[in-house]
Amino acid sequence: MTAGGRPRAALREETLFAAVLGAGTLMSAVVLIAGFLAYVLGWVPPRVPIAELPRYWGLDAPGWLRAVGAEPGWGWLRLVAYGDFLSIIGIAMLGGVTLACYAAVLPMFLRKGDTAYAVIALLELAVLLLAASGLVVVRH
Amino acid sequence: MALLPVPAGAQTAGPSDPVAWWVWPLTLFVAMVLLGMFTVVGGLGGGTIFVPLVSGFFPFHLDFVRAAGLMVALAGALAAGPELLRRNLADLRLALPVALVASASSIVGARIGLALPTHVVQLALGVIVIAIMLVMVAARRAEFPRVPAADALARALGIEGAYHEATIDRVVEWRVHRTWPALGLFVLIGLVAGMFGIGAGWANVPVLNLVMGAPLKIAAGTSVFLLSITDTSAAWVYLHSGAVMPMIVVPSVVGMMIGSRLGVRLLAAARPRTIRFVVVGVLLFAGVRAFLKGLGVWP
Repeated sequence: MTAGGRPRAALREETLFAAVLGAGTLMSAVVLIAGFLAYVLGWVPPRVPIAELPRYWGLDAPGWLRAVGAEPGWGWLRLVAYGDFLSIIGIAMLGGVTLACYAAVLPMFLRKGDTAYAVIALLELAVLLLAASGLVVVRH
Repeated sequence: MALLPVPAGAQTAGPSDPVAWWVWPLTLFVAMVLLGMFTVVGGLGGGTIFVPLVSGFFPFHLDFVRAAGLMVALAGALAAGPELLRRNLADLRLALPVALVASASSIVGARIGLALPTHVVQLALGVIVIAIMLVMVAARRAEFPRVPAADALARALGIEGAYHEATIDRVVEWRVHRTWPALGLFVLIGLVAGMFGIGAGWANVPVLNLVMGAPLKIAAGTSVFLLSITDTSAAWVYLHSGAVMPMIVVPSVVGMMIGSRLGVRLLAAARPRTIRFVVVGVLLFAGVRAFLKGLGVWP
């Protein structure tokens, strides 16, 4: 380390990343909690009756999917009319926050001519999109 | 809309549990509040201790526990990220290159972890948790590591910065070196995070601080921020593979967040060394439990 100089102000892309991260996380948390309350308070009927859950949480993930009749990947989306799957929307939104952050800062890197970080952001977007696509699932 | 009293395929479900359904989620919530308090005071991310502890002592399948562990680490990191970036304690230019390799490898780790037999993952989890405990005990940390010169890759990427260090009331300028070896280590970190669903703060900080030479505060802040990227990709794989059960995830995430906030308040009054000793002890116990469960010795 060296001492002296001035502390670096947050870069514009850092400020933007932080703003999208903060707003996205807050929105996701609200949706997550609202969905979960609707589920546990019985406002939206669940696919599996809550009292029956202890019979299912010992199953592995593929066993659970088979039991509820859901497909791996985005198949859970077909069941969002049920409370237990409605709650997953908030969780998926949490998984989408970082994607939104990268999508927001990528144009900034491009405008600055920061090719290295534009490529890194593009590659990261590709990685996150691959993960979110539902193509990378484990079927037993 | 029809509620399914017995869902299709229910023949695969387990026998009825004599314990009321709400007992375990409520116990999980209370346990996470306590865990959140202890881990904050002990200086450890909650995700690391969550998976071995919950998989060892709760009736949930390891698949659900690992997904919940990732969500716990992810939610904490997402909540802390904006403030860390604004205060200049997490550095975007430092984080993005290492996040890329870690998040890509965490997808591979998640796939491997979900494909392997549960007892094998449980056994390996025990080994890895005991190794983490040893790293925690043995690793020294350097507040301001000496970096004579940035390496070529760090220079090309412009990874450097300056922040105001309040404890010495000075501006600390920093740069990093050994970027290539660090990227290699982040491949391994991502694999482990994805495979076991544990956050990777325990490994991020030593690599950023001791290998790359980032000041401890920058390493710690960037590590938390990194989790929001690394864990996202693995979390998607778990979600799409059916491993996310809201009744396990939500009490864990909310409990851990409440506990962490309470823990921050306790920080001033607590004796960090004593708490850290307790956390290391719990980690050792949970690691041995996971190992023995994997062996079938202590089912």
